[in-house]
Amino acid sequence: MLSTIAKDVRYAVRQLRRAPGFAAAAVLTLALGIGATTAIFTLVYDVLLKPLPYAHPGRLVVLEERVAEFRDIYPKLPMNANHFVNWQRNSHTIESMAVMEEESMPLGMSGSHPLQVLVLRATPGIFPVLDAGPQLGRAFTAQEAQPGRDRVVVLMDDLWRTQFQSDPRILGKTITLNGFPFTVVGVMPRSFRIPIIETIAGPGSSRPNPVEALVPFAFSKDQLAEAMGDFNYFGLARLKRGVSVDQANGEIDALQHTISAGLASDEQGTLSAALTPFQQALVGDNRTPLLILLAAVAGLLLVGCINIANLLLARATGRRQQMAVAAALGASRTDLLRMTMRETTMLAAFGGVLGISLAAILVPAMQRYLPPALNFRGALHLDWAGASCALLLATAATLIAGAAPAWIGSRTQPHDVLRGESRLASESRGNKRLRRALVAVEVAVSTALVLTTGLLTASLAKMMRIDRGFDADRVLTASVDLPSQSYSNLQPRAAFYKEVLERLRGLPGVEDAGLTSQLPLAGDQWIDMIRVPGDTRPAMQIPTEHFRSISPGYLEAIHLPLISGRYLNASDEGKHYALLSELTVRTLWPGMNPIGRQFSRAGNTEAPFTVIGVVRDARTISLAHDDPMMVYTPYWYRCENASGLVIRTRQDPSMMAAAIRKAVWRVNSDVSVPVVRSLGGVVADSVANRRFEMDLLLLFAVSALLLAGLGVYGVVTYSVVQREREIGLRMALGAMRVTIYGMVLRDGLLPVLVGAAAGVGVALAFARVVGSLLFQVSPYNPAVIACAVSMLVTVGAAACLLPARRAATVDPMQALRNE
Amino acid sequence: MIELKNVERSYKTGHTETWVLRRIGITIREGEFITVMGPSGAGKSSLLNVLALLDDSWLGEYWFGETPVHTLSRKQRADLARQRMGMVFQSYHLLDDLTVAENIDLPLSYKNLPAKERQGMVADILDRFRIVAKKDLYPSQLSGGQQQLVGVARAVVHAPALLLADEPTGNLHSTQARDIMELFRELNRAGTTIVQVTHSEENARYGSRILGLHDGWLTRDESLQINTQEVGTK
Repeated sequence: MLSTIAKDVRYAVRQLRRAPGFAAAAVLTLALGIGATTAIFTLVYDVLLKPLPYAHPGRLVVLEERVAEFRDIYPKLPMNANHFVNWQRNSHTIESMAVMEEESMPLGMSGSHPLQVLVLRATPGIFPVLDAGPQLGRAFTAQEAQPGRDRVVVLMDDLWRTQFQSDPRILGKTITLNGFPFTVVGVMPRSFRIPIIETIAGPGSSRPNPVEALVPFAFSKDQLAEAMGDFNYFGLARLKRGVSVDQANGEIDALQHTISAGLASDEQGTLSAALTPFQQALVGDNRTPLLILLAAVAGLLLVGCINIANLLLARATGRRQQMAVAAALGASRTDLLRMTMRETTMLAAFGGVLGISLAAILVPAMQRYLPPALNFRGALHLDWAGASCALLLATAATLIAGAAPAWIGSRTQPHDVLRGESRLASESRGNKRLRRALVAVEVAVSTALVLTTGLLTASLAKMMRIDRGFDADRVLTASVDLPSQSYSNLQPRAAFYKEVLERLRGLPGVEDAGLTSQLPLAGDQWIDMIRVPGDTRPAMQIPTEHFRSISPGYLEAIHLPLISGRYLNASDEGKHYALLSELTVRTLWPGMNPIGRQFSRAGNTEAPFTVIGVVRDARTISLAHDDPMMVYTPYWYRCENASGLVIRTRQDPSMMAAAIRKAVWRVNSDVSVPVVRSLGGVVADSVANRRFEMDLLLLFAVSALLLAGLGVYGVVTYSVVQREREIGLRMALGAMRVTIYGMVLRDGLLPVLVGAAAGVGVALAFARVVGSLLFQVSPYNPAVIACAVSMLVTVGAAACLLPARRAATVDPMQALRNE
Repeated sequence: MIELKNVERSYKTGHTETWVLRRIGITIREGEFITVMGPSGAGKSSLLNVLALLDDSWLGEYWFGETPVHTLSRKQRADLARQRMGMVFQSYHLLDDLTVAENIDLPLSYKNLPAKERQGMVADILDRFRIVAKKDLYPSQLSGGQQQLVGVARAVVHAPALLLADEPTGNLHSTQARDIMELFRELNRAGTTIVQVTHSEENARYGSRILGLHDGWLTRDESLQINTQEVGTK
């Protein structure tokens, strides 16, 4: 047995050495196909299939709420503290639960620019939910999750190592977080990791830092009293053993109905629960693009295999004599099958080994493309799952590429071959049909790939060209974080921002500068309801608006056009003025002039706001959607510790980063300025995920297009060689060169056209899946379909031209010489 | 009808030039049935290729009627061949994915004839060769003799003035060969000039004249008295 295998290997290597060009092309095609598919599979496996690194991860669920009255705008909402306490007290299906929120805090004493760290504020249930405990010290207790007792911290291993030099006596020591002293009570183990929960609802492309410390979440009285607002907290729970997600959801729904029944009359709303398996929630919208990428790269591998199958078919036909001799000498059908498969197996083995090596290089490089919510498990590397995938692919490639040649080889009838050349001058009909079918399949796969890529490219181009309503050229953004201790009230915060803005405006090269509570395309934070005088509807029926706290100069800095009225200016300080977007005005005062009209925040008794201006509707939350109703209020009315500065410059903004930081630190050196970047970069980053998917698909599509072209070329060339005598005969019977050209082009393009039509059919069958990723482009867009088909037909025609030329120059006398 | 003057043909292999036709001078009159004979390598097929205008690389003069073929372009020669000549091959060279009728139609398809006219011509030839019943069969479903019958039908479907045949019975057994030769004689009697290459003395006797070649030189040019009885009963 072993000697037979050794002999087969020897023969196969010898055969391949005789055709080094063919062997190199086939091995490289397989290696690239297997390597790329394995790398993408590893990414998909890591994101979609690999169990989360917690005990019994299948029992972890994300807790969210539904409010029927809000379902059109917010199908799901994060948790409310009041409801959380109710669920925690009354649920019998949930073993433990926690709510949490992330906050970036300065670490360290004042006097130097502090290190900004991401802190998870969580209820004590976080430890039993994730079934994890500290390696040093203890977790925080329920008593410590009370206002006034909550100054304890559990450090993550990385922070403990890098900032505290793995100090074994860290427990009991005090560190400064957010300007307050916190006592270290524990250090989590190195293997413990927490996903970045901010990114779960809408993963952006920015890469926030990982969580570096945990502090207790102590609900305030106000938070606990708020029954139908403050839906702000990420909830996570561990189900009891044997309880399904549906069962738990049913029980929490019942609790929600009880809460709904007890609501005040002006807060009446219909509550229900939305429990989602943790992994599914983490994957979120990334599932479809990842699966499309996997399908695309598998399609590319298939195209590669078909090309190799075609090459092998050509070789198999050329070796019929050899097979016939073997059959005549007594080789069984199995022996013939083995003879034909050994070469393919050897190619797949070489291709597989090279493919695994390629995947091992590619996989770590793909780490940065992991969705941020899922990029918390540590280094991405090729593991047993990826290696098994590569092995499986190599086997599949052997079967796909080798099956047809093996089938033909094993059916060799010695008397047919050994009695001499066929009397009939053309390629055998079955062989021709098979090779055309293979070309049609690879063209179909390539067309589907090119079409999908075309749609995504058109979609991204449209998104980048969309009228955003604001101008990102020569605009720099900077985020600032004020320490809570020194800036716990509105007044010092507003004073700080005012001084910083004055300094920024005084910098040479600065055209305008402004402040906003939320930088463009950086998500959303403050959603509220406003009531106009005379509107007596209950609070739950009033539409919601998205608020931004801004300073004079902000709208001017991003060139958000004014439709009517005026912008804020410095002399307005202290006044309750506001600007609204066109949509807000159309909704609140349809057909009326809004300037001078007043409104209040629902449920708020403070002085009403007066509208002084209307600005254009824009796309400041997401490029993919028009902004909802926007309300711009002045920063002296409300501003937070974390805000964004926007600076329009007269020169290249990248030169100004250091000057901006200096300007902030001149006002207060304790303030952290973690990120300074151009607004253009922020815009580009907001579509980075789409761009990454499109770039990969583009690479696969171009490769598939080239492979399809090579496939058509190979098949048509082979066909011309096989049909040389037939072509010679046709010319002897009067066929002109142009006729031969036409014949070869027609024969070559027929499978291309059939394949292209089938490819369009395949792409259209998956139109709904692809359609969910498109922006203002229909998956049935005729121009893109026509472009994709034209590309394939052009490549196919180009691939046919060379062999057609060869056919047209066949010398009939030479072709028929063996007469 | 045809006049060759000092026609020569050679092939270059490396630095060596091999002559396959040397100073050939032949006159072929309309209605003749000529047999070209000679040992292997004598230049028979080369001469046939020159006559059939498949070969361009010869020297000398070739007159087809009043037309100086040696001055024609490649395309003009191809046009002349397409209109006036038919060719029968030893290996039949039928296309195996075309039916009998389609194979016969093949040379007509290169002549810009209306489809209806072509159909009529094919139907006539099928009828004349008594192979109507086989018109929808593929070559692989026919015997060797039947295949060559189709080959001849294809060669004469456009009523060429000159029929060239290269070992037309070389792959057939004697009865089939005799049938084909009888067919040639009928065609010749109906006015078609025929030039055949053969090794067979028996087949040569169907013709009216024998040309002998040896090492590229014309060594024999002999007219025959046709003895129908002798050839037919042999």
